[in-house]
Amino acid sequence: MTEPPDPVIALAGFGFRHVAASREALDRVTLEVRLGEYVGVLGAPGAGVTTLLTALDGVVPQLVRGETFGAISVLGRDPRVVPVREWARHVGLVFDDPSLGATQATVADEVAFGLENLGVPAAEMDPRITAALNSVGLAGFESRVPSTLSGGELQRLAIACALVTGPSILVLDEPSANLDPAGRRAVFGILRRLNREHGVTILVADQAVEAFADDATRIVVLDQGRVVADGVPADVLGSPATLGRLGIRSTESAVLGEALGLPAPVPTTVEQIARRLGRRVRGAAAGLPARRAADSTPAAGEEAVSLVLVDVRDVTYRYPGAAAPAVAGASLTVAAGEVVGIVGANGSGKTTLGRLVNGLLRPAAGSISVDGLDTSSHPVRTLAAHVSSVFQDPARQLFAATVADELALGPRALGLSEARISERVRELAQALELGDLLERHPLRLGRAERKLVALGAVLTMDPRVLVLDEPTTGAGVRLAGIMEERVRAAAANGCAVLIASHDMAFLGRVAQRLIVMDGGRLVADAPARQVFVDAPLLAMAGLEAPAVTRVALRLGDVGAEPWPPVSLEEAVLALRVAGSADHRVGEGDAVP
Amino acid sequence: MTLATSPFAYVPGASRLHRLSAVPKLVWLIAALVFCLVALNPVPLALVLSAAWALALGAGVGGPMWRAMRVLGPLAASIVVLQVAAPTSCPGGCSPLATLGPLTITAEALGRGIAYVLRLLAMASVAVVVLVTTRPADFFGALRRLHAPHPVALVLATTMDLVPLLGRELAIVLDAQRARGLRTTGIRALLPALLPVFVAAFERVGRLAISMEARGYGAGIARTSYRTTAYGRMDRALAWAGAGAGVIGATLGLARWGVGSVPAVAVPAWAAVGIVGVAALAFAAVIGRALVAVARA
Repeated sequence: MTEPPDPVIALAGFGFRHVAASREALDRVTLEVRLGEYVGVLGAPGAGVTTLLTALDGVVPQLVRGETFGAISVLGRDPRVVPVREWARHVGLVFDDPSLGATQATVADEVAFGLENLGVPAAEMDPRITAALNSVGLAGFESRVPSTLSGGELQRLAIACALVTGPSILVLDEPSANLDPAGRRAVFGILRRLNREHGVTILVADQAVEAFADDATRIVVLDQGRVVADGVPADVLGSPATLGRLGIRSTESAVLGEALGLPAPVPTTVEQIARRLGRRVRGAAAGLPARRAADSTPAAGEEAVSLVLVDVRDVTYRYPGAAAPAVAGASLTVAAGEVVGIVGANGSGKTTLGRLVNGLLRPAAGSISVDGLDTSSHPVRTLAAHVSSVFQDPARQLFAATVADELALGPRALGLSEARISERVRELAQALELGDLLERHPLRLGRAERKLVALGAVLTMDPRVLVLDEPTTGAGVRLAGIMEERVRAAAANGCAVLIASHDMAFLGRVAQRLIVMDGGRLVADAPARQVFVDAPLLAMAGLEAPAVTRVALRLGDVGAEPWPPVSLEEAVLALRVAGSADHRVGEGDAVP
Repeated sequence: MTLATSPFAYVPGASRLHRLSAVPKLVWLIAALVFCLVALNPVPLALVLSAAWALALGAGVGGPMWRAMRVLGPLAASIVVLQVAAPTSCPGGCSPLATLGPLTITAEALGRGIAYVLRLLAMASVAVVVLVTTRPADFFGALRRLHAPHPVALVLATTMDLVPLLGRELAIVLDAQRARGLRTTGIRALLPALLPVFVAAFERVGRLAISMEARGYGAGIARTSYRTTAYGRMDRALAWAGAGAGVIGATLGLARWGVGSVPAVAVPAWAAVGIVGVAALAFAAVIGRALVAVARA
């Protein structure tokens, strides 16, 4: 192989406009990436991140049609001209959805696909397949069938498939969007090794900024198709307010540092901020905090009255043909006004539990009562007036021709008057900031906006019980903020909310209680605070406490209440109280 | 959900039939289907049907076979009814068996109905028994070995994967409708469900196409093949035997049991009325259920 040209990627005034789009998805982007760099690409939904990444091997504009402007060169060649399929040995591409299934056979077949396409002799394939699988930690998986792999394993397989053809550049678009914290750690650990030990140039976009803040050599920020920031992570991520204005969340640690009034650039990782704060926080003691955390007050106001709206009793469910039950012997209650998170690794039964609560699945053993109705003896359509769900993929639950109709569909099915319906639609459109989109077709919106419409569509039903499945995946800061507000508002109205999610920071902010699932079993049901300090439990369930909690735990018990903090607001309060109270505090003041 | 247990999905197993190379299975399947198409006679068709069932029971896949038969039941009933009701031309003069009001059941029409039903069931059975004992990936390999162009083989293999995928998507969308308190029966419920199903399927297929091309699929280089599945002398002999059987069967079928030679089935009047009556009831039940569903929507 000849020495690759350096920079390996060079864009000069590069632009792209989709067929029939009114504005450029990418607008005069100028960017150079040198060999061996690790670049994190950030941007709110619709900022052009995917377009930029997929332009690097010609998917844009060859497969995603549109008009390009300016110049682009990857390894000295123009990806607009060189066919996509010829890039396989130079640029590896990985998406949020592993999109495998080219051969539908074994893991080895799947990896071999790229080699077959390049005409590699069969005899040379096995060592290369083994090497690719080893490099992603899937040694010995050769004869497994992909459909039996976990989400994290599948994503690692997708990386192996991209690597096997020997690319020097690896491009990943939201590779951890659907992964649990353990799967995410594994994926980013692999990227770190590929970059450091094998010199692979990496470009990655992911909402979990935390996961690569420490490894990336550079962060590029896009806004409305333009590069608006480009620098080392410490600088770019160290200005969370600037990113926040663009609808991008920096690392939780950086946001905390800023809220505590540390001068910019603020530390960006748990490690760094703990070290920095350690000097400021008085009495910072080493070691784990005392277990009194367990009985400290919950984050949100605790109601003395507890009207139980969801009552799950000893429920077991097994999918037809499955060897093990998806949910086994689960018991839990959720009261009016309570927000409860369901957490656990991919495949631990979170989604199934949600589907049992809304009646789509009926327990094989045990019973579930929702708002006083037994889910086994009432049709789902009857239950729908009491319990509403937002699915993981919102595209599947949007049926109407316009967003306005979508929001009106539920209340219409409930038989409400048209006047009442249009009033509700108006209120919700305003609360969800959907006003501009009311006449659009829901399925023509981006994934994040679809999610919001799906949430609105169930909120118009004014449900007593709300079940949300991964509400913040791919949502971006603005939409996640709106969702958070709506969840709080629903709970304040007496709605019982169940949220299955991998987003610990989000749950730390909204959930009072966490249900931890592992292999279909409910292994803990405790205040979020108590779960987040239980290291063995977190390890077993493949979870991770929110960054702010980890920062606090590293500092040691500073004598603040509640301890440890599980949300940014609490952390600001706790650490400000503990440290000198002389610095500026942002939203922290709003905490009761 | 019935879609999750589609009678055509692969059922893992370790029987002889499961382990047999996909190439002879594919050849024999094609031979059997061709034979069923040319030979319209209850006797050979019943033989094919019984052979398929014997293989299925031997391979432990009687369940999916039975489900397929149940799915086809209403269609079989309607075939009998329509054949009997339609005016039949009998070259040698018709032989009436019984009269049901305005309807005269002739031995010729009954024979024709039974032959068509047997053809339907025989073809479905051989297809099911081969499909459920062969992994889609092995079909892909077999098609390649039979020198089908790679894209053709890939499209066929991914289509087989797409059918259960669409089924799963539809199930999810219908669930979502129910969860929102909407009706999920009848045409009016199904139509809005189809759009999200196809949007989801298209988005998935689009992503798959992009990711396949990004992995070098379709590069102008001669593809190599990783998997050289065991394909022994025995498999080869069986495949050739299948091809031979196909040719002989087709010739024999055309010569002896061609369309023009459907035998009349002469049964006592009560039996004729019974057969047609049961079929008519099943047929009416299906029509009735469809009408109710439409009316409710």
